[in-house]
Amino acid sequence: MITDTLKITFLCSLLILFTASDSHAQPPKLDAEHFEDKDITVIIGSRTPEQLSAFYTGRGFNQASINAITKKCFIFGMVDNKTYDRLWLILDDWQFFAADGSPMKRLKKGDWAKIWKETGLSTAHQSTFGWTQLPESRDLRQFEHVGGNVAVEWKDKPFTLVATFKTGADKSGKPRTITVENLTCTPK
Amino acid sequence: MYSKISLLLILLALLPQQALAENTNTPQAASAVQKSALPRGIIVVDGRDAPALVLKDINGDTFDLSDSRGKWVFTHFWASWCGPCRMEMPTIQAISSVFKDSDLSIVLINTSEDEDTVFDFLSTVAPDMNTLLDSDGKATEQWQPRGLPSTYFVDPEGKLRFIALGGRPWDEGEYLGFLKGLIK
Repeated sequence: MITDTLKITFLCSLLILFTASDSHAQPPKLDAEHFEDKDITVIIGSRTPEQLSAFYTGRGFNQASINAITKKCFIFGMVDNKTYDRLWLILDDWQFFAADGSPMKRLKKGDWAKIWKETGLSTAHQSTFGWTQLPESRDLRQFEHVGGNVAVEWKDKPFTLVATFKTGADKSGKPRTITVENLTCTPK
Repeated sequence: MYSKISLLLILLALLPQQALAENTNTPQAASAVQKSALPRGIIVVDGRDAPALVLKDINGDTFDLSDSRGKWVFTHFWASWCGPCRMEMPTIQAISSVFKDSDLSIVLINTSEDEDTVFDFLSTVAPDMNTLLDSDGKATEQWQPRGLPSTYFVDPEGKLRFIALGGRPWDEGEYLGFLKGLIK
């Protein structure tokens, strides 16, 4: 029951995350792929530039930074470890492939640091931005979940995510791989 | 039939709390006992020293974690934009009255938001709560929480003993029992 409560809480949080600045708006549609079995739950979807702009504007980000953010393609993810002693979220194990099969560049902390230097984003706002992104690496304990965004370079055509999760404390367990096809930089 | 089931449920409910009540006079004893009776989402950590924490609260008063030796400290990192934080905060307000003037201090740390945002949030979601302001996010970075919200339990000797993963319903049975067990 607690697990169910957490799931509901987390799904609600995903919805609230980008609507907190406009509590009178209609709840947005959660347009996402949902994978669930007895061991894990994974939800993957896209953020629209409008959602991103509304959220970060509401947090006081400067316009240059908003412009930089909305030029990128943001995918949100939620991962819930239901049974493994450790389930590893390692973003380097997430591969994005463009429609022609070529790998897509994922933006990392260092990439954003360069962008913030150009846009003059404050340290506090950089910290806020960081908390809205998926961590680069996290060993999820049983019953732990994590959620946030991951950014890739913008593509007009649909693309594919192949997300692999190592398992076990020493990462030696059987890995789990989830493939999400037809992701787009705006929701379908 | 119903009375047997009720009795069984009562016994099951009492068992972990009974265990908590027996050996929690010291942080070491608390760790040993609670390791086997922890609520879901509470994990034991290695007892390393808690990072320093010196910040001002919304009234401008300075809090220094090192002044809390001799007490457990519920050290909670949050932000107003974080959905689980919003849902969890009323439960923290609920327990703040339970543990007022006890050997469990409840300390909130807002991550990287300005005073107006924090004040607006708390005044509507948990009007009785105060919070420390980590305006530039640097203190939070030092603690390296596994996301927001995150709650660390610092023992009376200033050691990290437990972490709560994500938001928890602190005013509900097993979580409230866990908190009470710390200071028995």
